[in-house]
Amino acid sequence: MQKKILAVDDDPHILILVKTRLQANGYEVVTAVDGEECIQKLLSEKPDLLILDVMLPKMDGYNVLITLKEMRMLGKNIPKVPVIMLTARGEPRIRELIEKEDIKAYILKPFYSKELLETIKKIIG
Amino acid sequence: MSNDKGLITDIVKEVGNQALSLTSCQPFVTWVLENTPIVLEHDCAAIVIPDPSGAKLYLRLNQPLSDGYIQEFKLKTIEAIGASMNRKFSEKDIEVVICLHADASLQKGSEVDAVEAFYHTDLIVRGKNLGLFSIGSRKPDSFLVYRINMFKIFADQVALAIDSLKAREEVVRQSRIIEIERIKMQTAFCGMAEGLVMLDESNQIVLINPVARKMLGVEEDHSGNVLGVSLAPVFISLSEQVIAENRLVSREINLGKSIEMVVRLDAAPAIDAQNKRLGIVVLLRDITKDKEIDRLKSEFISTISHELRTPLTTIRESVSQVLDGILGAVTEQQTEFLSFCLEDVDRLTRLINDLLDISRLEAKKTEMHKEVLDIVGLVKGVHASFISRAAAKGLQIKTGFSKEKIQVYADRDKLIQVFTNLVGNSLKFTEHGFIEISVIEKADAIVCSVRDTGRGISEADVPKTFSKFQQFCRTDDAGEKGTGLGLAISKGIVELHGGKIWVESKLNEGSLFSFILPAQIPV
Repeated sequence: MQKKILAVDDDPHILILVKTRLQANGYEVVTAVDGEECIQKLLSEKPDLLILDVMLPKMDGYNVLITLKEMRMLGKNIPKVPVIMLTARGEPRIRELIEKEDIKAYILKPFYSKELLETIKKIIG
Repeated sequence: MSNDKGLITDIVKEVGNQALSLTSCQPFVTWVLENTPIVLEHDCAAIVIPDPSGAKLYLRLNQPLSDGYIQEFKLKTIEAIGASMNRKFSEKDIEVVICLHADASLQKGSEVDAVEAFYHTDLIVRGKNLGLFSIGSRKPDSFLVYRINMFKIFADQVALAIDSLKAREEVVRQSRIIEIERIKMQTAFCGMAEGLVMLDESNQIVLINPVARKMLGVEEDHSGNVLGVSLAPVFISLSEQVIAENRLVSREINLGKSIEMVVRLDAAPAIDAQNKRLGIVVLLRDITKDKEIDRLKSEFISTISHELRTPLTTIRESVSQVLDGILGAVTEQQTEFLSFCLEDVDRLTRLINDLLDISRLEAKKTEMHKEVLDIVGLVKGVHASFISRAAAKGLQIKTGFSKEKIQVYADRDKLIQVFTNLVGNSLKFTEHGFIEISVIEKADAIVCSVRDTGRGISEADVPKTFSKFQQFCRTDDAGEKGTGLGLAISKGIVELHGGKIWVESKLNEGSLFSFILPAQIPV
């Protein structure tokens, strides 16, 4: 069965490139351009993996994850989804968050597509 | 005669009193001439005090005398002092100071007079000849023996007084010099832009200038240790370090209350001319502005770096997808050219990463994730990552460890970065021979080193090795091009671990980069 990935980035070029690359490798890709759209698409599209940028309009990447956690705590039925942070901010703070929540990996921009694909494969196959 | 003696005794006593109440020679000599006991029946007296450039002749007339008399008396006196000092005085070397008897106007004597009696005695104290005392009279038999003897006693007292007054004059002169020097020092000390404090061995303030007083909040009439509770420990520990290491120690502290004020303290041992330790001298410099400029610079670099990553990502991935044939077939030449593009995108990325690292290090914003780790395993990992690149150059990378496992408390990623930088450098600059990575555990430190048989660094370049953007014998060889930041970053990382890094090198023979890490493992 084809796996579905939600890619979130405010840069349209990056979004197109990620989409093309993942589609070429047999994944179904849906996209969002800000934090709020990300949450909507997560609920409506039920992806198998989330590729998330940190600096996003309306709600940044971390706040997206915090919001999801809070919604779950409020008893809402939010599916747990593995996350890859794909960001230009190479801050150590991200590292600390990897083990927490659902962040499985963080990849620094500019990324190597090989690394991205291998990471995805490891997480969702 | 007994009356004369009483007079002499009184006047001798008075000489002593005068000498005690005065501070310089001239008024005393004038006084002596005015009060020379009249028992001597002289009508004219003089005291000559020589100095290196000539002499001062103080002349006293007891009554109106003719020019001829005065001239004759002067010449006799000058001749006598010349003979007694064994030194030739001409008239122009001598400054004549004339004082007159209170009730005698400077009328010239009408009658023809001449110096019929002349007597002089040297003013000698403890074998030192200070000058000459002379008297003259128109009457041939004025100076009888017993009067001469009294005159000698009187002259001895005068000599003693002149000697002590001269000493006092010297003290005054010296203290004036000292005072001028003190004012100079005081002006410099108070006017300097930096703060200066001197502490004694028990950390009490010995000296403090206004700038330091303002910085440290010390009251004007400080006495003893009035450094605030928050400051005293800083200065005590500074003092302990300076004394223990006997060298200049620098530290930065924040003295700001509502607004930030960063002050750099440079403390040096205070040692007197006899090599005796007096405490420490601390120079305080407000470096808040420098810090702010540093911070802005770091922030700028950081922002620019982040902003550059996004377009680089697009370029890299676009080119990469075309190269991978996702958008259709590519020709061999297109592949070659697009590969150039990828290589240089990667080079730019490395530069940005290094700039970010260095700006964090400089801004002291590097976050450390220290853990207890096995450095031998870590080095083996780095070694493995270089094997194929080394083999491609026909080089061997050796390793040497003092033990199977060596524990350190360090940030794994950053330590890997240091070894990667050092081995990468060695690989880049070595054409023949070998590279050796070693880790040796000592009692109080772990010594890590990377040795190569490469081009080496010239003696002149060694001190600049760890500076930013230093690239010696830049190479056009294939492989990764450097950013000129690797060693500066390595130095920063080693220092963040409380260690030290250095290089020993000989041009065309090779280099040995070493760094030490503290051996303490937290409990």
